Amino acid sequence: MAIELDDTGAVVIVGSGAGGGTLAGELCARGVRVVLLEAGPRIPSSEFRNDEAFAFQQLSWRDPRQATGTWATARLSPDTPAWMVKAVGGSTLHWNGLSYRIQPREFRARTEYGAIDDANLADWPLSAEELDPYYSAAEKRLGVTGTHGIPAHPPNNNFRVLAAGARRIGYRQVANDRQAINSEPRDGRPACLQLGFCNQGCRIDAKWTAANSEVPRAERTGRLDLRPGAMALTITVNEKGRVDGVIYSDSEGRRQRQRARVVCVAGNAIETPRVLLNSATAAWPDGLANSSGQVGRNYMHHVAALAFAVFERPVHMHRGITVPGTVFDESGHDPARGFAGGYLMEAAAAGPAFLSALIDPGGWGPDFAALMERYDHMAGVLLNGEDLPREDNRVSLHSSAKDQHGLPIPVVHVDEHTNDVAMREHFFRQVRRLYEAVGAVDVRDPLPLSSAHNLGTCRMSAKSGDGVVNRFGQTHDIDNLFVSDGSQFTTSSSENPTLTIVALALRQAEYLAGELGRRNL
Amino acid sequence: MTRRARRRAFLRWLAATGLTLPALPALHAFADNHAAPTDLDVFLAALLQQLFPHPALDAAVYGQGGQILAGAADADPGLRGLIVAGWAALDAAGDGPWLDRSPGARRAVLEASVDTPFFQVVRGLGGLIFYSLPEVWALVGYQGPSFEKGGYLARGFDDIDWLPEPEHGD
Ligand SMILES: Cc1cc2nc3c(=O)[nH]c(=O)nc-3n(C[C@H](O)[C@H](O)[C@H](O)COP(=O)(O)OP(=O)(O)OC[C@H]3O[C@@H](n4cnc5c(N)ncnc54)[C@H](O)[C@@H]3O)c2cc1C
Ligand code: SF4
Repeated sequence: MAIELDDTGAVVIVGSGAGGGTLAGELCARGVRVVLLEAGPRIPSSEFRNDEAFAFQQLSWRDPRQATGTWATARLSPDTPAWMVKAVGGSTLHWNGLSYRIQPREFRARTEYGAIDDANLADWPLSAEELDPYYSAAEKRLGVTGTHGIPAHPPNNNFRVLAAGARRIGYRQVANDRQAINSEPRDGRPACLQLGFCNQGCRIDAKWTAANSEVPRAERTGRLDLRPGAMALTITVNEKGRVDGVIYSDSEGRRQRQRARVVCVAGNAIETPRVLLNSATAAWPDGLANSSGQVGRNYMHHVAALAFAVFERPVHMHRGITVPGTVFDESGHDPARGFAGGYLMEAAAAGPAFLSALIDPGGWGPDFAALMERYDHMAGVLLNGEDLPREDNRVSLHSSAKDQHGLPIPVVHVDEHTNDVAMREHFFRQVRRLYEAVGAVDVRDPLPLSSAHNLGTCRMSAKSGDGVVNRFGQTHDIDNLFVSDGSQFTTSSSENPTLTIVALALRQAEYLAGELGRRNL
Repeated sequence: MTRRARRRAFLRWLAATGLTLPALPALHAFADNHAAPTDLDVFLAALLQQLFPHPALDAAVYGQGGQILAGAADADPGLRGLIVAGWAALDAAGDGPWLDRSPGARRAVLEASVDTPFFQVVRGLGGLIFYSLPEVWALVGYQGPSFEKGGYLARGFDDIDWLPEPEHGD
């Protein structure tokens, strides 16, 4: 459906990923007309390729950015603080489909962990019980294995090594379900064929993405106007202090202004605060909806690293689902380990080229070549741990560098907390024990990774001074401006974030449609 | 896309990954297989052989890698300058051209240069290029793209036979 630029009745959503795509799907189903602005193109799944370099060029967000601070990313990939997608469907084209709920106690991080020096911890203004029905709806929508009677996938080699090692050292919570990847045909999409290229856009659409599920769902209602190639630049405000439109650069590079009744920003937690900061006016000198000063702050990305082990006999980790299952035993809060919060250990694979960069950075010569020849004897595991919010870990605008639209590029600054470092070291020790218990002959400590999870930069808070949005993702400052992605997270938790992003979007859609119906917006 | 444009896109990709992202270049697309090897191709092939010596591999595989790396340098004057200067430094450190020395003598000079930007760039970029060659994949046991072959569902995704079965999580 075409919605006119001067139509003042529609909801305008910025970004078509996990948050924005789901919000569009659910709002349209509830009878609301939606303009969906997406900076990237619409790419049919038939154009995805089992080729990581090609996929990176085809899918990834490559506009200029800068990483600063003490995190390894600032040193190793200063131009790429994070890995995300610029296309219809957003980073769900890259994602692995792990769909875990945040644990109830993790919603109360400040209360549970107590005050921690140099951290800006807070409790969510929302409980697990309140989110429970939306989690359940999200699991059904994504077809998450192990929920709603959907069977788990058969475990692949890489997971089986992790699981066996875990049990040998006494871990008990080991599971390969909770994946938004079809284990049987569902929702018009086929079952997984274990291609092993989940991050390159699932070629057969066995994996749920906002592009193969949410956008089509919205389109079927006839209420969606999807605009690929439309990069939102700023949000405009009227004399009453309400937002009334979005200025964007369209697919031809022309400036346009779409009028709006409500604006929802879901550009992923680097671009979302950037749009708000770029929308500063005389009335909002520090950025739109930023009376708290918290827009862009409390950036979190999970403590992440990838470790590999070599075995005497073959593993073939590259065969099948890229991230096939997880050990949960370290996901609790146990200060005796020397850090607050917990972490997950997720089996994960990589191809030889990436491995050559990561397994022994700087290594070369006969020993290194011999190590690489053991590629098919290796297993891998990813660390996904809770990182602490810090006010000065933040997304801000560069003082001089501009992007192709003439807007300041985002700078992502992270100084690691000692908690993050202690957690990573604990993970390395446990990984070594785990893999050695099933006969690893060589376990390598890896480098940390660029961020795949961006969180917290417009966080939810009970009080308006502590964060940017309320329990529904509505900004404290402006009634008809919402944040609809991982920027809302008050804390990162140890779980991968997307199921929660989807659950929050479903809850926000219900609230928003209700408020529109009651003429409160 | 022209080969030159592809090379440029590839270099942008490398800069963007910063070696920290799991991404695999389809680099054979950059090799100009029919052209006669240049001096730079030959030097880089010898360098790759020092960096990643796999006894079972044919010299032609290193030749291919050298050509691709040289192709990347053609598309990026900064990279080319770094490589050419690094080569000159290897020649200057010792008697006669580096390429004319024994493998042991070549290695000794390289060992003394591991902290130079030249070494780090050829190690990092060279590794990505070299370990993306299909011949090298075959050697290390990586099977590459699988969509065309129906995935790994019927091709051993769970064929490991030396471990106890995992139970479902509790
Ligand atoms: C390799 C990889 C693996 C992952 N695996 C998992 C996993 O297994 N489990 C999990 O829970 N999470 C996973 N994630 C994370 C997951 O992809 C993200 O949490 C999720 O997609 C974030 O949703 P979002 O809506 O915030 O942003 P995105 O999904 O990134 O969507 C944002 C969209 O907004 C668009 N956009 C941005 N700015 C603008 C603008 N100004 N104007 C218009 N459009 C704009 C972007 O182009 C993009 O399409 C993974 C991520 C990566 C990179
Ligand atoms: S392993 Fe399954 S989900 Fe992943 S790309 Fe292949 S078919 Fe898709």
